[in-house]
Amino acid sequence: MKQVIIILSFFYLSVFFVNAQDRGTIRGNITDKETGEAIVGAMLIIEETEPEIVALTDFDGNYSLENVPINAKKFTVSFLSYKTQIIENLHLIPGNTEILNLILEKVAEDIDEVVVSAKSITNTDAAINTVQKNSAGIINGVSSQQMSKLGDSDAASALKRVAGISVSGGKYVFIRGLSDRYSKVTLNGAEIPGLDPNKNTVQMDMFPSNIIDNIIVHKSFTPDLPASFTGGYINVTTKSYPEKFTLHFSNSIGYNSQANLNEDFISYEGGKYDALGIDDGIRNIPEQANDIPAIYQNDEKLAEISKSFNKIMSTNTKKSFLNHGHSLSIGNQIKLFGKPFGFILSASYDRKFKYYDNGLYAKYDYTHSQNSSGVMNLYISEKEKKGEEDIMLSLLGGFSYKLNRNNSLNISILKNSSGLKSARYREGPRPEDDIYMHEHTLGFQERNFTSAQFSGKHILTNFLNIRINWISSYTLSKQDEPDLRFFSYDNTGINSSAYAVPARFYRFMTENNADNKLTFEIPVNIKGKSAKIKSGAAYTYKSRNSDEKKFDILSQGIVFNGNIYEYLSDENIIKDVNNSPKGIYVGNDTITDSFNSYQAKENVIAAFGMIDIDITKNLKIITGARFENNSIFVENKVPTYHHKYKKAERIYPDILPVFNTRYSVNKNMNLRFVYSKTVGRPAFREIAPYAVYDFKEGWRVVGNPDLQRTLIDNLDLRWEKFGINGDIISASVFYKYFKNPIELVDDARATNTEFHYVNINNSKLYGIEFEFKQHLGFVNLNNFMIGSNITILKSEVEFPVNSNTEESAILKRPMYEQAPWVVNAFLSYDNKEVGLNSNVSFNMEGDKLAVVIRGDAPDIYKRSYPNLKFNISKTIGKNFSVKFSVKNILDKVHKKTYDIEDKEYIFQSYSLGRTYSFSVSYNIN
Amino acid sequence: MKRNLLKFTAIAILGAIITLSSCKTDPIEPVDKDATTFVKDANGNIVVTDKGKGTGNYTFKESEVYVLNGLVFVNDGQTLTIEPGTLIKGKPGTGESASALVVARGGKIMAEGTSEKPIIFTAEADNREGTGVSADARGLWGGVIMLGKATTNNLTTDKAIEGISTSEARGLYGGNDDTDNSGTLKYVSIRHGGTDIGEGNEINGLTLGAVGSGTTIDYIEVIANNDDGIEFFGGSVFVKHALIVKCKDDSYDYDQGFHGKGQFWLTTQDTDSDRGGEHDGGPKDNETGTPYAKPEIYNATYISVEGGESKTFTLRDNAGVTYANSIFVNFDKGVDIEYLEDGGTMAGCSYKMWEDGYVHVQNNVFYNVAGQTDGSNVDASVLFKVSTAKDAEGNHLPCPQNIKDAWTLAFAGNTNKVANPGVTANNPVPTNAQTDDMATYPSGFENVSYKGAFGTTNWAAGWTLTFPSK
Repeated sequence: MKQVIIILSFFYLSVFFVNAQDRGTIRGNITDKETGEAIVGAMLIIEETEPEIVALTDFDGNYSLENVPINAKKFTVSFLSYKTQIIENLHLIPGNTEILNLILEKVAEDIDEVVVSAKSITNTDAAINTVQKNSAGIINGVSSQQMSKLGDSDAASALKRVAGISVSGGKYVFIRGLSDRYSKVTLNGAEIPGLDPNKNTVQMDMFPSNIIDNIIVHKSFTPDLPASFTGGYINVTTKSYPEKFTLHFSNSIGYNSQANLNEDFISYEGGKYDALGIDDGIRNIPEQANDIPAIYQNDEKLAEISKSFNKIMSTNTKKSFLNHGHSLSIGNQIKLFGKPFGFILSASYDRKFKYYDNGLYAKYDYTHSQNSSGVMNLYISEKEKKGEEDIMLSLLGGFSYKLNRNNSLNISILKNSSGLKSARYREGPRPEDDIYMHEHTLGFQERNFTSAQFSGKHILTNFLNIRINWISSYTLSKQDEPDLRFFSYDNTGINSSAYAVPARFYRFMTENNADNKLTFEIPVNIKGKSAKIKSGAAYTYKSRNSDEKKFDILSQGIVFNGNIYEYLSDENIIKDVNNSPKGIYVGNDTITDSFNSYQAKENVIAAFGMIDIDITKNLKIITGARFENNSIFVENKVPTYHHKYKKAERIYPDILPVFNTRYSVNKNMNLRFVYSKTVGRPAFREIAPYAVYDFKEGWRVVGNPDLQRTLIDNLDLRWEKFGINGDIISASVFYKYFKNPIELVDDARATNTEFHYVNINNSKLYGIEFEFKQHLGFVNLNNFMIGSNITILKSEVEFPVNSNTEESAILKRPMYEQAPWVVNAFLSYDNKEVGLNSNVSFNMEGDKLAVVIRGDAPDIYKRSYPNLKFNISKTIGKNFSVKFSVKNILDKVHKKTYDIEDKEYIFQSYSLGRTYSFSVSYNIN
Repeated sequence: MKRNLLKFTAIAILGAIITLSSCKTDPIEPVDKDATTFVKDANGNIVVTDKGKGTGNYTFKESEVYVLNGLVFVNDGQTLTIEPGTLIKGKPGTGESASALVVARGGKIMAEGTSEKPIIFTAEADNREGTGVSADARGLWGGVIMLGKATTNNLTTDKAIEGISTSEARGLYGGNDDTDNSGTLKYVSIRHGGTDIGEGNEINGLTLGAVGSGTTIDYIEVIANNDDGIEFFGGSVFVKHALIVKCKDDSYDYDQGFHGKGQFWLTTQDTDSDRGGEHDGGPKDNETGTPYAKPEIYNATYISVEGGESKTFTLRDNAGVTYANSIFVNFDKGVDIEYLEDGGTMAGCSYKMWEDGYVHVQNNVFYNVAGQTDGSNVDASVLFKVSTAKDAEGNHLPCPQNIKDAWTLAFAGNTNKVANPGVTANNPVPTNAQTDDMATYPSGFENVSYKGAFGTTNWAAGWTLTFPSK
């Protein structure tokens, strides 16, 4: 409620400031035509007014001409050594702000003045291309405009459009086929925690598109970036305050042919606030459960505790609602104490359903004989139903205060939370034990993070023109998985020696992140060549606390008759029968308690220096180095005597050099060559000095405190040609060499599957990337644009078949979860005059390794899946727009199968149906 | 000025690098492995807690009661002696805090009880008389695990025993010494064990991992375990006089190339018990590895419960076996042998092992197994059955009739018959002794002239929980 009041008061405040004037404002930015860089200190003058209205651009090239009488017709822009521009045909509306972004050109021989009509200045979505063209490294980007055109709902789906990127599980980004270890995500340039307990990665579905201004993917390292990436570094920039009053209010509904308004949707009885993605406490661990007596110790207390657990452990069916989403954002730039103050406030809510009853799940044993190839023997084969309800809530506040032309301060506050409620039911035969299985799984996952960032930009005009940028950011994040419930049984009862007994699992994880960065940039002149020297330092800190608990539902002397409700009822709770306890009771499973509960800390201290110098008019060199000192510490909360080490503590200092050249063949064509060294560091779990049991997957994972970090040599060669309005053609080749890469290998000594993290000697990755975007005006299809990108990759990892035998054979395989190719394509129609926009987009990637199976048994691959999407949107009147989209048009079957040629052995398959959505939005821009 | 600034920056960065590079890089602190503690609790029992160093050379005295707190190891080179009549209890707990006695590879246990003074392993809540907990209570603590240096047919020589991570080196078993000696277990009763040790595994009553033939295991009772009675993982040990009573899973289970011996094996099952014998040849990733599983078992008496669903025994995954002079009573299903076609090679199936002469089920008596009670009118096809793999719908793959027939004919062909020996769970000593058609004993076996585990006296009487009185 408080938040609503704040939003409303800002709303009225802005309206108040805007109204009641017969004057207007002109704002915008000014960039260099060739380099795309902001021009600082350019002067704008409106001479026809009395007195003259004058403005200078600030360090971002931004200007603001204020209190301009509405009858003003033209103004002049000038800057030393640039052609002066005269902007004519101004048409100001009282109280409104006109946005004019201008481009200045260096003085040629004869012409030193150009006249431009204000009407012909359009805000194109080519900004990303300009950044791309002029950046030091190799980058790609997605703008908010593109996201809204292609109907991408969050950062994860938007990133799929970028060359060489694939997204796994709707969350994890793979850049050039490299998994989470080798990519890094920051928010407005500052590190934020990943919400995954096992990986070092940020889950990209946590950023709804309405808060994103742009996403930039750096595929090559420069010393001013953190060095712990290889595939790519992704920076998500949240929306910054607008130049003038904006309001955006949008509502959408969606219908999926399987998931929505379905009577058979499977779910379970949860809490009151499930629809907000927040648990109301019903999934808490009962208080008494901290100290559970063993059976025969205190059976009365045991019975009481056993009764205190929630009795719902099976799925039910409940009609699902439509998908729906709502968002509101307002922003403005006003005067506060006489200085420009900009703000943006945004809130959104999104609810989605997912359901299938066509799932299959099967496992095979590969019976291997010494002298013949193996045979696939069915171990289990089940039909699967699954229902998911996904909620996302997001609040953003961004504030900026410009003290003067050379100093500004920004505050950005972001709070995101997501809740995922899931229910799954599987049934089918398990031949080896001659039983027919039934398995219920009920889950709930809450993820949220709150990030506060304070940053500033300064230019010291009277001291070398040094630019100073700094950011200080703090993030608190949580990932809780309360009361994940499993209940398996078969036609003969509950068979504890064949599969796990019914159980409930709890995880609570919190992480604190702080990131502080300071950079200096000094323009210099070295022997007549203009150059920039950049130097800076950073300190990031992260701490994590993770607690897990698991409780088993055990029984003594009673038989399960197939009815879960009856089995868990109070009548069945343990009680004394002829002096011995009979019934069900709860036991604390220490497998997870002692080993998955840990504390961990990590920090990185970094310093860098780099120089960016124009050797000739066409050749730019960027070179430098970054030093990073990483220290990482993990300690298990309950020490164990069964392991070699008590805690893991490692320090990895590294110096990481970069050599980067850009040769401009002509104004619109670049050739680039980049060499850099980067680092891949182990995640907390990987260096943890103990084994953890991943009981969702049913295997043990053993950490390795002796792990070395991975050093990677990166080589990139790229050719790129830029057209107008964002047209581009580019081709790249790249090669990466990993020294001491970390891989997960199966330990054949273990009776049950047990994975170890080990450093293997080396691995290699190479590939090519091709990308184009082209407007079709040249074939008279004026409003059409077509684009595509293709990445082809090859990777090779060599590792011993058995990690612990010296004489073991060497196996070669691709890197885990690495797709050999990724293809994106789109065709779009955009008619600005009638406000009609439509597009078709396609996305697909090659088969990728999903599960590594022990020894020479066939591994499991995720098969390629074609994704086709259609969008159409139309503006209605000045402020309304409507949009209709169809997703997953082809609706093929998602499949994971064994890598065996003679026949298709399915490990997992399902299909999800088509989704149709419709939205209406109201905008004031 | 600019040049100075450049210099300054360079020096500052260099300085930072030098300072930070000189940080300590000796990062890892080993766990202090402390001596095992033996501490008296409020009840006067000695609680044994292993902090990494094992029991040492130690003696459990008859005058004391010992309580195992977590996994207690007899480390390599150590000998744990247990006096006759000693009571050892296990604390409740699951997973890594499950309580069990583990004789590690190279360690030795000398637990020599007598029929008057058996050594008893039971739950903490139990007592010497066995009246502290319900007679059928299962899974109250772990069990006894012996690990040795004998051979297995695993892919790797070292193997970690189920439920213990490879990080605990004392949980590894396997080697090249089939005559390895892990000590002696004699007149030992193991009660109410089988707690969950993780990943859907429970601790067997007695787990024998690569235990060698130098070891003596004679007169063993396992009662009310939540998993198997005895499970062999490879090894060559000779187990004599064993009784497995009312255990949840299989009574006698072997895998990973067990090639030892057994004589006088009794089991009496409960309605929810699984197979009398579950016999696998090799691990999934190396089924046809050597040494083959081909134990010799003579004089077994397996008694199940009418109304149960147990199989007599199953031979699969390349298992071989000799079962001779034995008695099988009241099983719902007969003897199952796995047949896999595999393109004609039949690799990894026990049917192939039978064809190759590694399976001998001979000179045995069956009664009321798969409903067969009339010796003059036997349907051998339900007693000796071929089992094929299943397809994704759970249906058995077809099996050629001649394959089925050949195995069925082996019932009578190997002098097996249907007759009532007159044994019950309460009195396993036959009232109708079976002494005809005896198979000849190989060397090392006691040359008795009767089938089944008992002649005229009950050797289990007087020292077990099952038959407490003489």
